[in-house]
Formats: sequence, C-alpha cells, structure tokens
Amino acid sequence: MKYTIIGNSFASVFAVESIRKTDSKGEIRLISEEEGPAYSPAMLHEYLSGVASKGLLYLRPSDFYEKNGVEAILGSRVDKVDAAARTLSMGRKKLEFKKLLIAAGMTPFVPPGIKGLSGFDNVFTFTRKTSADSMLRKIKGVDSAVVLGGGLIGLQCAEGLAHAGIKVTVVELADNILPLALDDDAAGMVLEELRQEGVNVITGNTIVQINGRKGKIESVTLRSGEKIKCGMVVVAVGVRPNVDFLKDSGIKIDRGILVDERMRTNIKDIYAAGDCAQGLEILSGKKMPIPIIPIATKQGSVAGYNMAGKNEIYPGGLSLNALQFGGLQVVSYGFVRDEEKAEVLKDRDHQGNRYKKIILKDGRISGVILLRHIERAGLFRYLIENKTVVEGFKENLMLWNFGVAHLPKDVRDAMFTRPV
Amino acid sequence: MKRVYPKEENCMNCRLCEVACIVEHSDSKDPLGAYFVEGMGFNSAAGEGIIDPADALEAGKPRPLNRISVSLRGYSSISTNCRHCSDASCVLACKNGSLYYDDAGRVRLREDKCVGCWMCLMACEFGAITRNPAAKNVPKVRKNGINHHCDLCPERSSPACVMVCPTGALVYEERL
Repeated sequence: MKYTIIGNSFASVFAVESIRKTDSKGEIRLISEEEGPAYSPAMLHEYLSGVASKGLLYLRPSDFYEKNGVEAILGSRVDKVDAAARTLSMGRKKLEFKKLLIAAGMTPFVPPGIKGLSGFDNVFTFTRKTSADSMLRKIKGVDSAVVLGGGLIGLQCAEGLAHAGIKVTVVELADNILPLALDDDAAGMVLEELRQEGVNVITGNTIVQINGRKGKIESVTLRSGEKIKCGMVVVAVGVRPNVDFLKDSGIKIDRGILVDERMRTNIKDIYAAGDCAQGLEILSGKKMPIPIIPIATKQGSVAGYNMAGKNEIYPGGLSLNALQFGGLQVVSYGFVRDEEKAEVLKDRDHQGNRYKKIILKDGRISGVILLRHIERAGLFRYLIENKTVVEGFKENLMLWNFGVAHLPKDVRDAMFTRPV
Repeated sequence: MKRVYPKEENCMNCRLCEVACIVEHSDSKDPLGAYFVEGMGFNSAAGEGIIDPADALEAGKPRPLNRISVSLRGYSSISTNCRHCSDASCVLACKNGSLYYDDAGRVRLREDKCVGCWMCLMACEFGAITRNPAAKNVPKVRKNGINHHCDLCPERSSPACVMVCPTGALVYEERL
C-alpha cells in the first residue's frame, strides 16, 4: 500500500485526485471515522432545512473511490499514529503505512462551564452529517431552538432551522456576529437580513445553564439572567484541529499539525492538509490553521502531488469567505478588522444597500469586504495574493464597476496572456 | 489545451463576442430569437451589476447571459472569460463538487447540483464567474441563481466569440 490517507472530506478528495494525476497505479487506502462517501459540511444547513436534497451533499459521483482505485475503510477511527514504527492503529487493528496524509479535519469546540449541557438529549454540535441527521429526527418535536455562537456555522445552522420552521435565537459572546469575516458595518447589514429570515440574534451574551425536566430541554439561562424558552440547543462556538490522536506520535503540533510549503510534517513521508493542518498564511507570513474549503482543497492537492513525486509548492493561504443569508451575499478577503497603520477605503451605497471596504497597508491590499455587490470579487483575491502594489490605481478599486480594464496593463498581461 | 486569449490592442469594444456567446447558448441560436423572444432584454454586462439578476428572473425567464464580457475603461477595452485553469481556484472552492473537469480539461458545471453559494465567484482570480438567475436548485433561497462561466462552446471547433470577433481581439490557441 503506497499511500494512506486519514480523513474523507475536501482535503482527502483533492489529494486522491492529485495523486492520480501523477501516479495512476500506486495503491491508495483511505480511512475515515465517518460512514459514507465524502460530503460537504458546508451543505448541512441546507440539508437540515430540506432546501437541498441529499444528493447535493456529496462531493463526487458515487463511483469516485472505485474509479480512482481507492480502498476506502469507512467508519473506522484511527486512534494512534506511531511515526517511528510507521504504523497506525484503529482499536486493536494495526496497519503499516509508507506515505501518510493526515487530513483528519476539525472537531467542534464545546466550552466548559455551561451547567446541564450533558444532561439533555437535544444538545447538538453542527459540523457533521450525523449531527444533522440526529437533529432531523428530533426536529418534529421542537418548535424553538437556541444556537450558541454567531460565527459561520452557528448562523448557517440557525438559518437552516428557521427555514425548517423553528423559532431560532442565536447567542454570541462577542459584540457582533461573524467577527472574523466582517466588520461592524457589514455585520449589521447581515444581522438585518437574518432578522428578516426569522433569526433573532443576541450579542454580548452567553448561555450559563440549560434548564429542563427528564432530559427534555425547556429553556436556557443567559449570563444576563434572561431565560429563553427552547427545545433544542446547538453549540457552535468554534472548531479546533482534530489532532488529539497524534499525541506522542512524534509529529510536531502547535494548534494544528505544522506543515512546510510541500505540506510535509517534521517526519519524512508524513503529510498533513486541511482543517487539522497549520500552514502558511500569506499576509502575516505566520503559520495558522484556517478551516475553510479553499485552503483544505489546495493543501490536499499540493500534498497529493508531492506524495506522488511531483514538486508542487503551497504558496500560502488567504482567509476567504463567501457568505449568503437570505438574499444577501457577502465576500470577504484577508484581515477585515485590522485597520492599524492602514488606509481604509469605504463606500456604502444607501440606495442599493451595497457596501465595499478595502484596507490598504504599504500600498497593498490586506482586507476586502464586498456586500450585495460580489461581481468580479476574485480580482481582489488576485491583487492580494500576488501582493500587487495598488497605490497607483487605488481609486479604480472603489468603482462599483471595477473590472479587468481598471487594472494596469502589466497586471492584465500577467493574468490573461498565459495559461494558468 | 486550447484556450481563449484576449489581444486587447485589437479590441474595439463592439461586444460582438458577448452577442455571439448569448446567441450560441440560446434555444433559437438566432439573435432576434435570443434577444427578443427568449428573454426580456436583461443584460448583466450592460449595467454595473446594479440590476439584480433575480429581478430579471421574477419578471420572466431571462435570455442566456453572456459568458464572456468586455471590460471598458476610457478608450481601452479587453474581452475576458474563464481561463479554464488547471487546478482551478473555482473547482478548489466549490462547496459541493458542482464544478468539475470534463475529459478535454475544461472546467464545467453540473447545473443540477450548484446551489449558488458563490464560493467560486469569490475564488476566481480572473473575475470570470457570473450569476445565472435562470436556474436554481434550492428553491427557498431568494435572489440566487447558479454559477455561470465559459464552456468553450463544446459543440464547436472554435468558440463562437473567437469566430465572430471582427478584429482578431480573441484568439483560440494552445500556449505554454
């Protein structure tokens, strides 16, 4: 067995495809704790509300594993990796590996200190299909829910529940929702849209206790003393790289598994990619876990190429967000709240309710928010990732019809005259 | 693989590439049919993104939207479309595998799968993806639509935009 992959989501799927583009024969074994083919956790809210049919969840056609010659061991949890002995264990079962990719994803963080959290049936996290399936089984007996956490997962879950006809309240500890992806102006506009979708949001507060009888939730008590009636609680305060099983493995871990520009860990022939990995962030030059799809897939792809012998470099990731609530779309790039020593360009078009903000540092873009006007958004990604000096044409960036012709000729030539 | 490349010195902003694209992807394959029968004259490229595609959808079935568009500034213009990148950012960002490579290496869309999450639009460094309001797979989500990008006219030997360009501002060739 030439290649072993732990995990079965975005990073793993793209790693398999990159390996196969380079090595059509080498045997691939893929092990995942979760049953069933690879699905998108980012579709779970649409699955929960019933707006998306089950078939839309899966990342690849059903013959993916067979077609790529992948031996998929699903429903088996790897609980230990021994880097020196080059083995991994699943309970009593031990397997040897030659080249290993760890793409074990993340685990939801459940904060300590909430009284009664473990005493009730209807407490969920929302990162896996099994959670969504359990929620679907319970949803009929519930008419209201509280979601703890106003980040992307919490808000999407809340919207999904609202679409399913449940009265939802989101409780967020910070002063505003989506603090990583949006600034206060944009968050306020998203909040307004969420209210229209039937999602109530409380900020600057948290749940201290869950109340109920005989395992059935009746309400939650907030830090402020306020009680909210509900029959279901979803904890979505954040995710952590899933690396606990690698303790004592010899693999170097900070918050996630530390990887170099080829997705290699500190140990030869062991690679890591996706939400469990801690790779380079392009603006700060630091290594940090960024649990988003485009980074997981890129890292998985780069890992796959390198494992199969092709020399491929990961240029570093950029934090990217495309959010959609109701009829509102927002795209954001980079660090949108870091305005220290920066020039901030802002425009809010009150008629169309569009919002655009660009943060410039040293003549380069370090953060962008585009709300209700996402056309050609990716051009900003190009300028950020290529560290293009935009000082000379920055007024163009703020045009609502900003497009390819507003870029300097040399940038256009670099973009459009060669294959990518 | 052959791709479409702009030659901007030759572009005179006539936008025939957009017209040819719309006609090629229409039911009638005829300009009059495509513009005045199939749709209501809605054109995303003509405005500045102010017209919400969903408004066009609500008013009736919009005609096919152009998959190539001319960007204009002063007297200079350039026509661009999907680069059909290898390891494309849009494919890497697609949240449910709706974007894929066909056997020829073109980036294609599974139209019955895309839910319009706009990860692709966020990811594409070339600004080559637009929103097509004529289709949707998640009925409850308002004002949405699905991914829309160049398909390199799979039924033609050379894409319609390249064939129609009167000044050679678009070329279809293999480059290294």
